[in-house]
Parts: sequence; C-alpha cells; structure tokens
Amino acid sequence: MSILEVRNLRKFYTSRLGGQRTEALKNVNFTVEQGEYVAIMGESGSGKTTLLNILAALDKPTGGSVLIDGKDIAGIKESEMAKYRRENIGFVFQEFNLLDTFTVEDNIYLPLVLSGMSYDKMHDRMTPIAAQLGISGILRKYPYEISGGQKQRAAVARALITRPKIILADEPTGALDSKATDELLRLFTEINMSGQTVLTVTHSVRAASSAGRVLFIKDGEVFHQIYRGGSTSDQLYRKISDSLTMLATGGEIK
Amino acid sequence: MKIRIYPKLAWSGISKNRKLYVPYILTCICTIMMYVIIMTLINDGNIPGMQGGAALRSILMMGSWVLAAFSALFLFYTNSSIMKKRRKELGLYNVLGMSKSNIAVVLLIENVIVAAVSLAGGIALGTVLARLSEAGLAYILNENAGYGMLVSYEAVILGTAVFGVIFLLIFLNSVRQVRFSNAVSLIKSENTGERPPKGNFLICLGGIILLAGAYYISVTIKNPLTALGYFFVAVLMVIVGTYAMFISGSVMICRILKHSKRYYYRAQHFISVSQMSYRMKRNGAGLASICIICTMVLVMISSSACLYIATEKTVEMRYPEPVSVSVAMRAGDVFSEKTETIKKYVYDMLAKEGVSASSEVEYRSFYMCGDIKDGVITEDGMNVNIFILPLEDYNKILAHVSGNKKSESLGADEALIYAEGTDYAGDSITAAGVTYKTRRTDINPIRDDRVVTGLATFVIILNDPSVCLEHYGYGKWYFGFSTDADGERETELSYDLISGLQDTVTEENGFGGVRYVDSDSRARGIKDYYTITGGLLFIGIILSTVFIFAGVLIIYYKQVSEGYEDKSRFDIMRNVGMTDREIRKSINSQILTVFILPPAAAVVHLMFAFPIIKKLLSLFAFGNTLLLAGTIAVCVAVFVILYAAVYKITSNAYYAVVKK
Repeated sequence: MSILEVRNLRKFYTSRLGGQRTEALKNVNFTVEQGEYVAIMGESGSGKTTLLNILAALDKPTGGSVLIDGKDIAGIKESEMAKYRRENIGFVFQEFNLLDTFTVEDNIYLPLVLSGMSYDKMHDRMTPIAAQLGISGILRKYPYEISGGQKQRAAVARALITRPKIILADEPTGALDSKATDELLRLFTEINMSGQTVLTVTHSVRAASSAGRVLFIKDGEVFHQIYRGGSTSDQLYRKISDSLTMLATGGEIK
Repeated sequence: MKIRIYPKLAWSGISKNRKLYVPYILTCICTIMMYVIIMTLINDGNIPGMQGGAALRSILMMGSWVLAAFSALFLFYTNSSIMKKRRKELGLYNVLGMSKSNIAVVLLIENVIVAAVSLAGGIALGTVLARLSEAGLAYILNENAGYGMLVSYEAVILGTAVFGVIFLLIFLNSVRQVRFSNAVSLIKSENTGERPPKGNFLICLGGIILLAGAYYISVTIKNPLTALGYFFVAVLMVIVGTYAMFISGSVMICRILKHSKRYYYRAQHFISVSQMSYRMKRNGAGLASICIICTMVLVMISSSACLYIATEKTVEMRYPEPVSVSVAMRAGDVFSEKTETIKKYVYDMLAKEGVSASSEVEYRSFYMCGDIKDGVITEDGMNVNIFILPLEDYNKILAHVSGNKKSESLGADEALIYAEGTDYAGDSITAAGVTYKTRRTDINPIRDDRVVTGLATFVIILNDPSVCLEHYGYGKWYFGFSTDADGERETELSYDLISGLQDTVTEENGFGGVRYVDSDSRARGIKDYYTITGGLLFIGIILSTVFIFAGVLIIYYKQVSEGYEDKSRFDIMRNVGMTDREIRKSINSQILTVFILPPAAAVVHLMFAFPIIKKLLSLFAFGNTLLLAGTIAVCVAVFVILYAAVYKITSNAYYAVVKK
C-alpha cells in the first residue's frame, strides 16, 4: 500500500504586482510505498523545496492532491493541521532547527510534550532511539556544545520519536562535513531497513545514492526516476551522475 | 581612502540603523532639553529674585547634578549596546579593507552627527520650553512668571559643555569596542552559540539577603534624622539586590521548575520555562533597570506630590498661631515677671503699628534635647525634644484649644504626659530626681518647634515644676496671637518684632542665658514651604520625565532585539508542529510576564519603603499617613496605565520584526 500519493500536483505563484504567474510545479505525480527510501533530486529552482513544503502541509497547492496513508491532507482543518503534522510526519532540516533553549533531550521530547505524553512514556521511547543514533551520551548537552553531525542526529531522533508515517528530510546533509554525511546516510539506511518510510530532497548525489529510488525534478515536473535494484551505492552514484549530466545537457535518457 | 566616502558611510551607518538611532537621539534630545531648562531657570528669569529663591536654586542645582550623572551613565550604556548590535556591520567594513583607524573616523563623524543633532534639538527645545516651565513652576509656587523668550547663554554653554564631554566619552568607548576585537570575531559575534544561563546560587542568595536587609531597615527605622543616612544605604542595597535577583534569581527559579519533571514536561510549561530563563538572562539587567527606574519615579513623584499637597496643612500645624514670639533663655527668667516686660514690648509695638492682637496664647517651659531611658529623662543623646510645663500654663492652652471646656488637675506626685514618636510606654517618669506617676493626654501643648526637626516630642506637665529649676537651667517662653492684619503685614510685623526684641531681651536689661529671640508668621511659613515643596515637586517631575524616557527606551530596545531572536524560534516551532496560535500565545505570555515583573517588583519595593519615606517626610513636618498612602496609590495607578500604554506601543515594534 502506498503511504504517500501525489496526484497532478500544481503550484503557481502570482507576483503581487502585475499578476505575472510563475509555475513552480506543473504536474507532479508519484507515489511512495510503505517502507521505501526515496530521494528527490533537482537543481536549485527546480521546485523541489516547493514540493516538500506542500508535502509537509506548510504550503497549499494550486491544484492536485497529496494523500498520506490514503488521507487527503487538503481536507484537514487548519486548526488540526499542526497536530496532524506533529503526529504523522517527521522532519529533518538542513539547518537542524534545534532550539538553543533546550537540551538535546528536551529538543527531542518537544513534539511529544506538545502532544501531552507523560514523561515516563517519552523516556521509554527515547532510550532505544538514542542508542540507535549514538547520542545517549550527549542528551544532557545543549546544541551549542555539540558538533553539526551530532545536532543532525538529534534532529533525526526528534523526527523518529513521534513514530511518524513518513520522514521528510530537506537537504539533511547540506550543512555536514563528509564524515558526518556518511554517518548520517548510514543511519538513514538503517532506519529505513527497520521499516521507516523516508523521503529526502537533496541535490547531493551522495545523499541520493543511499536511497532505494531517485526521482528527478526539472522545471516543475518529475522528469525521470532510477531504481536502485540490486546495485551498490557506488553504482547508483554513477547512474545518478549520468542522469544529472543528461538533465543538464538536455540529452535523451538512454 | 577618499575623504568624501567617510561622511557617506557615517550617514548610512546611522540611517540603516535608524531603528536603534532614532529613539537614542530622541532620548539625548530629551535629557539635554531638561538640563537646559533647569540651567536656564537657575540663571535667568524670575527665580533668582524670588523669596526663598536661594533654597529653590539649590534644589534645582541638585536636580541638575542628578540629571547630568544619570544621563552620562544611561547614554553611555545605551550607546555601547547599540555598538554591540552593529558589530557585524563594522566587522564587514574591516574585512572589506577598511583599517580600524578608518572605522574610527567613520565613528567619529557618526558621533559628531548624533551629538550635533541632539545638542541643537535639545538646546532649541529647552530654550523654547524654558518660559513654559517657569510658568509651570510659578504656578506650583503661587508666584508670577515672566513673559517672552527666556534665553540663557550660561545654560547653552553649560549644556553644550556637559553633554559634549558625555558624547566624547561615548565616542571613545565605541572606538575601544572596535579596537579590541578582530574582524572575524566581529563578523561571527552574532553566530556564536548561546550558552544556557546558569543561575549563580550565591548571587541569588546575596540578592535575597540585600533586599531583606533593606526592607528590614525601612520597616524598623525609628529616628528620622538617622533615617536619611540609612535611606541611602537601603537604596543602594535595593539597587544591587534587584539586579542580583533579576539576573540570577529568575534563572534559579526556572532551574528549580525544570527539576520537577511532572511540572516541566507539560505543553504549557515546557517552552515557557525554558525560554524564560533565556529571556531573563538576556534582559535581566535591563529589567532590573526598568524596575529601579519605576521605583525611583514612583518614590520621587508620590513623596514630592504629597509634600506639596499638604503644604498648607503642614504649615498650619507648625504655626498654630498666625504670629508667634518665642524666647529661649535662662529658665529662671522664663519663670519670672521678666516675661511681662517682653509682652509689654510686643503690645507697644502692635499699638504703634495700629494692629490689634487677639486669641493670645502663652506658656513657659523647661526645654532640653535629650532622651528617655527606663522612664528617666536625661540630657544625654539627641533623640527627643523634652519639655516640662506647669499645669497652670497647660490648662490655659487647653482652655484656648477647647474653648474653655476642659481643664486638668494633678496631684503633687502625678504628671501628665504627651508623647509623639517615642516608644515610651511606662507608667512613671523621673525628672529632676523626682518620680511621678503618669497619665496620658493627646493634646500637644507645644506651639512652636513642632515636629520641625522630625525628632520625637515628649512633654511632661507637672503641678509645680519649680524643683526643676535646680536641675534644668534652660527654658523657653512662647507667646502667640492672631491679628486683624493680612498675612503680608504679619510677616513684616514679625521681622520688626525680631529686631526690636533683640534690642530688648539683652544682658543689660537683666535677661540671662539668652539663646535666641524669634518671631515668625504663618504667612511667611507658607511661602517658604511652597518654595521647598514646590521646588521638589518641580524637580521630581523633570527627573521623572527623563527617567521614564530612559525606561521606555530600554523597553523598546528589549522588544526589538527579542523580536529578532524570536523570529527564528518561531520558524523552528512551527516546523516542529506548533500552530501559529500556540506559538503566539506562548510568546505573548512570556513577554507579558517579563513585562509585568519590573513594575510588580517596584510596587513591592515601594510598599516596604513606605515606613522610611514617611519618616523622611516627617523631617518636612509631614505626618499624614493616609495622604501619603493615597498619593502613592494614585501615582501607582497612573503609572500602571502609562506602562501598559508603553507596552502596547512597543509590542507593535516587536511584532513588526517577528512578522517580517
């Protein structure tokens, strides 16, 4: 069963003066199955951030629909939207978005506290996740005391702790060095192996090559996609590079 | 670098930061204006020639010093926080190839612009408003104001000099701030991770002790004369204590709250508690300053207004008779026929002036400034004014006050006692070696020297005080009356009486141990009192205006800088799954809490300061507790409304930043 279904998604921006229309997304269609790990690639301005914002219900589409677990998110009332988002979608951002006023632990608890969960229950959930992500030792620290990689792992923990249906990641490796990037990608794969659906938006070939499927967006449309199949990350990396070159030069896909 | 680029950079430095600079320059103009007004009033216009003008001038002078000192501190502090906010911009200049001395030149030009605008604006406004202020002061004093523009060159020169020095110091400090930092740290200074606030337990404890100590002093103080000294000690303790509590105490409270997991991990507490400690850490000093400003303004305005309102009542209490004559001399002469000689002189003089006296009151007393220890009066110590009156004289006063309705009688071993401001509670008193059983009266027979010094008053009435003659050598004779002349005439009369009596009550005429001969009129007292109470009220209003201006500026900066900080938090919280409403509600309540704290603390300070303020006001012969409480209540109410308005207006600045 598909956990995420995007149908005929369109998004226009109209400039305030003159009424000129910009098409950010023309006609986007794809589905993500339960337990999949999908990467969406595209250059700056290709519309991938717009797409992510709409998937996250932070922005409204001009046309088309987004179904999460069979439910159209356009039908959710504004007042329930935040709650819905909190309970069904986990976010990982390029800039980590940890609150500097909280310890790492409290940052991770934040969505659960908002949902009114008791401390003991939260704590029970925390223990295995912290161990899996290797952040058990830094829970009491504040964001300013830890490295970028650690911050991102804390952010991943915050996304996982609500047991979301899908994790949306926006350039998760964008602010990390190569070692931390490898570490994070390994974690994403691991999380995915344990059954978690992950959708990541990136323009890093390396980040995309750890996914099970890569979608390419160009000029507001899904242009092409590659399945990992049986290939290794390195092989997938090469395939993605080729596709990108093709996209850039406007050549035909073989 | 091209010379012409400096003024350009300087101007853009100010105009790009106008959110910071416009309020700052307005505050500069306001303080300079007030200073020029005070200085103009001191040097020109009607005040120097007024009756009691000298006293008024010294009150204004004192006010000008307070104003200058406060302005220096406050403007200096404000500018250095503006410079801190501009670090990144200046660091960028540095990176783009300007040397630090180049930057110093830009800063110099900026400071010259700010100083020139402020001085020009302040002096112009001050000069324009000087006559208006004089009219206001004259109205307060029941005097006449002059007409036309009031231009004082002395005020302009002094204002320029004093504030020129302040601006120079401010400039040097900005250069120092740029000098001791390198380009990279200048640029990065905004991005360094914020450390979590650590409430220092010792500082917090120190703050509690200081506040408790200051409150204790205020509540337990007895003697108004020593109260003045203690008052300043208590003020310092409160200032330091307030800073400690706001900076450290609030963070400690948040930390304690965090320790309770059941309290802390609740949606409505979780974000508030953790962010509050940050907010308090950032704003602790600013909030403490606002609190202290609130307290100062409230104390100043309510006590000076109170004194002013009560002026006539106070003077009436101090001068029960419109004209009085008192002579302090050898007790033997007070209790002899010699007082008749003086009385005769007074009547002769009145007759010569064609004025007739009525409702005369007269009494004799032994007088000393001493103390009462275990029911024994001593001449050691300077705590209590002690009078000993014969019953005969007391009954005359009683008849005068009650309209012949009352009189007292005493046995030989009995004494009647009137006590005010002492903790005497015994049922016996020993004077001149004899012990008397005591009864109380609530009528104070003393007609002069009333509460003037703020000392306690203790009056002993004895059937026959002649035994005291051997022990207490010093006495006072009082003679008071009404006349059929008006107040001004009475004042002239009292002056004439002083000089005439000084020639009559002399050693040659057989008077001994004369300490003073005095005559006074109620009319003169009222005028004198108004110059003091009116002057204090005027300076209170001027200083309060400046303080309030400063307070508003601090609040405004706090709102704007918090706006920038909260903006990114806002975004993160939204991403994590809070609705806009939840976020706004949480932030609103935090800001409100932070806002309510300073005036709330100020009101607590004020309540504890009440006893010591009352004691201090008693130095001005003020004793109306109810009026003081009422005035304070009105001032607090007006202040709260004003504060709420400021909150409303500045929070718009906050939302303008957050929403951007």
